Amino acid sequence: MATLNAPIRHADSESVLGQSFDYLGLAVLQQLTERFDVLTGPMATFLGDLAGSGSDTLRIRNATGYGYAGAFTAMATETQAITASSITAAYDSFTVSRNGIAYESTFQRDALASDGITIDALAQSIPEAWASLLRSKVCTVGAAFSTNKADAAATLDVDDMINLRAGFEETAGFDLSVHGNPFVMLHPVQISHLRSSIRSETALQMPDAFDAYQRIQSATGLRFRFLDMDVYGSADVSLSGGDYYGFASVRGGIGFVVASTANIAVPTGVDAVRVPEFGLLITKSADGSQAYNRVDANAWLGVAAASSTVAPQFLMQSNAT
Amino acid sequence: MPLPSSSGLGGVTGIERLRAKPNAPFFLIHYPHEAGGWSVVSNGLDGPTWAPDLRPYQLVPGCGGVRTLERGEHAAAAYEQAILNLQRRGAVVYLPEAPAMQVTDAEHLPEGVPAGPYIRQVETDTIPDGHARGVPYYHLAQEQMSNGRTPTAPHKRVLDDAAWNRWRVALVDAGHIAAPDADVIAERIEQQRRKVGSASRDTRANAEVRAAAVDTQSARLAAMESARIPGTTPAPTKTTKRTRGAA
Repeated sequence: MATLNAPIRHADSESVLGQSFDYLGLAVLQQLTERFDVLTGPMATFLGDLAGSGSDTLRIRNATGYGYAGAFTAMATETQAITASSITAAYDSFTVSRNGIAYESTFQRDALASDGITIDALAQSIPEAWASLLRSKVCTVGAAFSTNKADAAATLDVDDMINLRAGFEETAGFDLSVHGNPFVMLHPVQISHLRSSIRSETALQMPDAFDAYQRIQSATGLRFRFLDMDVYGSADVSLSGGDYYGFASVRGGIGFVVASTANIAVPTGVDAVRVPEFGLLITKSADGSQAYNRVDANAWLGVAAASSTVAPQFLMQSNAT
Repeated sequence: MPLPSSSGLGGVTGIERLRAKPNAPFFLIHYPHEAGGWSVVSNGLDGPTWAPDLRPYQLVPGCGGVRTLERGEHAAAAYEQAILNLQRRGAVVYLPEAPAMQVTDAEHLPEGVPAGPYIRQVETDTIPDGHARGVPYYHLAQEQMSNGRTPTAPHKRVLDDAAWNRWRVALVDAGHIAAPDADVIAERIEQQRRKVGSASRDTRANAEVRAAAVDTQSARLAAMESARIPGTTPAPTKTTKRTRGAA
């Protein structure tokens, strides 16, 4: 019990009648996190659905030796027999894996909480987590590209980007009208290195340098165009052994496959949400005995690179320091 | 993701738990016939030397042929397809349990780190985005992990560049990694020569800026042209261990 002497002061009443802080109703600010969805760009192409196939691996066939790649032979005489040509065929394998994420919340918290972070709200956020998963897998796959167009012993510079552009153009069969602009996925620090390099690039003095410098931003996901290549940034780009493993390709260079969840049977009474095109199944359940709700999400997703004989692919491995 | 061998990976960081998101284990791969598969390094060595660009291949199920294990399958089944995919692309895969890939020489490790495989692990702590506690975080034996100074500061991953360089070069000198082909080295040198050319060509540039750029690129070219090619020219009898960060 507290005696509130006249005049009644806030300082005296706060501890018994008031509260020491107030939350803005239902507003919870999300902490810093990368929100770059690679589906908005050309770096992840949907290739197929394994649901009902009986396999966890999808193979994409490729072949050459015919059509534009077919070669006529000049015949030496009127009667020389024509030798039949061979064609060359290969395939790439895309294997799905199971990926999971789950949240739990007690009945007591659900009853008392005022913040809006409910099991339902968390379930609604799961497609965003799927987008992060896809981005992360795309970066893992890109880090294994074989041909490095940068220099592992130096930080990324303008010459590396010129070298990359030349790499695309000098790849026989690369055609802007077929493949579209190449994309480049770099770590934000690599983008900073590129910007620093532009500052001292002899071929780009004012005002060209200022113009190029100004267009280069290192925010994640933000795209800018450099030498007609669409450059993206993501902190998911691998860092190991003191090097960043950026990468570049064209649409179709990296693909993903899913297993549609439309056919997955869940028992009556289980609250299930399916996002078949993402291979995503979200189930909600409750344990009355221990008094908590739970949401589980399963995603069947696989990412891999197409053969470099189909889509040009280059690594941008540069030094981190 | 189970590793080919999960023994002897722990206890190298000196911290109990790392405040970082867990990551995937990896094995090292190398593209020996790619010009980008070799670079010149000098830190920790007696002079410029060509070193193989060994890089980690993360074993993430659903990525590049790595898949979810089925009941009863042995761990290696998860990444057999990935190895085939990599080999088809010209990569050589170095598994951590291979005897030749053990890091045993103290000169090839940061101070205080015991001998063992090239991959090490530390357990993660809970971090603000709620990853489970105690899940492994994998890193190279030559990388030292530490927590940020405050609970929300990012963790630090510092590579002992000198030790990493010495180990990679020693693998070639010992014949565990084949020496680079002459034409691969020639292609790398030619790439660098083009960089010198592009730095010196533009007459619009401020003379001082151009001279500085030419000097930098020329120094790199000179280093490449004079660099020792391990496996073909004899290794110096003793390397000098330099302080990390030394040029």
